Amino acid sequence: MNEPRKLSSYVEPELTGARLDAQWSRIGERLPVSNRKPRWQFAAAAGFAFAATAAVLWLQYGPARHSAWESSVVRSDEAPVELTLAEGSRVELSPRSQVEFLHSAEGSVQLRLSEGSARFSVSERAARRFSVRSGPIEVVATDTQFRIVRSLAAEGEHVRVEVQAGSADVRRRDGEATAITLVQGEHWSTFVAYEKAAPALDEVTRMKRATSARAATTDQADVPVEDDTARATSESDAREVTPEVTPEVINGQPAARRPQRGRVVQASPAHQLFDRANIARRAGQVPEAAALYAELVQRFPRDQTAALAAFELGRIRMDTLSDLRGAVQAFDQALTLDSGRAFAEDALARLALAHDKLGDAASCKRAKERYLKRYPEGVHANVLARRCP
Amino acid sequence: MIRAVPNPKPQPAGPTDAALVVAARAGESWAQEALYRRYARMVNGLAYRLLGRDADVDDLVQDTFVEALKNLHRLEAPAAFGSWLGSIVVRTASKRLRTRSLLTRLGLRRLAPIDADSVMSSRAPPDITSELRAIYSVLDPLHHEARNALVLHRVEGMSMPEVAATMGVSLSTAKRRLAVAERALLSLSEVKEPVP
Repeated sequence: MNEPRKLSSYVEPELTGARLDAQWSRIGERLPVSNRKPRWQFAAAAGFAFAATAAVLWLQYGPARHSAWESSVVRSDEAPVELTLAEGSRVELSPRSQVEFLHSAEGSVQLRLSEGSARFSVSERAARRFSVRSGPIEVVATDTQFRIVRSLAAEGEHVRVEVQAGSADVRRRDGEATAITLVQGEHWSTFVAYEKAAPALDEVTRMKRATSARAATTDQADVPVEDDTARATSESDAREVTPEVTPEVINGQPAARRPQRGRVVQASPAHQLFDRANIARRAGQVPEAAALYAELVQRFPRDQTAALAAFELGRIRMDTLSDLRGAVQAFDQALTLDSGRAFAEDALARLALAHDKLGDAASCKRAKERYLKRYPEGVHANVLARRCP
Repeated sequence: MIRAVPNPKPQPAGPTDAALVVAARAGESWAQEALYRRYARMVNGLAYRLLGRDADVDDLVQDTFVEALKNLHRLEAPAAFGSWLGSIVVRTASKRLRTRSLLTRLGLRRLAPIDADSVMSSRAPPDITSELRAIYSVLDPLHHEARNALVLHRVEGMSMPEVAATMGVSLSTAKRRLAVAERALLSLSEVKEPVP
């Protein structure tokens, strides 16, 4: 009874530490050099993009240290890029990253990491404010070394801040007052989901990559939307760089799945529950997964994930928890919620089998007849034909 | 939620998949290896069950991770790295099986039939043993698409929507492929009835 029912549990290769190490060694040899370890190199060719321009140029380096110009945009290709600001701070851009220099003055320096990751080594200067914006957050530092990683995906963006020396203050720029101070060795990260509705055209600022080595599919999903220009007017010592633009407008409306400017939303509770349940199920934490699926179905019956959650719950109860009555209830719910009929075939077949195992011949027969009427040549027709005759 | 945690290096509980993917995209080799270590057993197991033999598993695993780590930029949802990786395993296995089948038909390669008893654990109970024997005895003659659908559904225990998503096909296509495999199974006299 305690033995797992899943067949895969009994079909496993012999894996030793040595075998895994050997696999990784060969994988590592096949990865591109820039993927394996970032090496600080000088870019082969470079240029500058200014506030009103629509192109991003490469920054060209000579020997020793050169300052980057204010209001410029610097983007790295497959190699990392290192540059120095006039006031002495250094920026080390990882491959495929982009930083904009918003403002540089005696009292303040402001940059924006719009893509990828970079390490910022802030020189010690009294009464000088050094800040880096990235997505929804701003990091303010003095005499600090910290790294920011920003990743854009279809559902939202992920930003991570690591402090490698000194301390830095991190605050959200969406109106939330919370701010924290990170010290050496600490890190902080956040994921901000995009809103589903397309924003109004006049509220959206677009930035388009001038060059990209990535596939077109990710380009379309990952074009960042900057939310800064409205705030620039409220900050007396900041001058915003107008993002390079080729507005991405389709039929007068912005493309779908873009973040709204200045608005931050979290993933829906139903989706969070669904993700947690799936993770628990794959990790073998079956009772926890069942509880999460059940909670989702109970609290959010109208959510698009509810039908699948009910079906998965039924499967778990039937196959692992030996709760056939609970499985029947879940499959019934899945059939009720599955208006798109995506799981109906499997759910009906399992419903009939569950009734059969419970010894309820009448219910088994009813479910079986429903199935065979709807799916006379279905995948499970042969199996059900032999049940509850 | 904002929280500060000590030590930017991965903890035993580990950073999330999304965090590792982000770092790996940025070229952090420790993150790439962390993703490999986290999913090596899953990928090795799936590769083994799809191929039915230990030979070629190492190559399949390496091909899978190389493709995944080179193409992380294509992953729209970093948190879904695991399931995305599973799709790559299946796709890469299909290529290998297709090549193997072609070489066999051309007489350039001879493959011994899958020995189901050597594939499965000795602690498998009798009903599991008979079911696995039946499944692995029909795998080799099957078209690779039907074969993968059968392994994913019956051995991995995936639902049909999961099978379809993993194979990158529609639900109806996945069902058709599985139906081909199920018919082959049902033709065996000692087969155990499949569970939907």
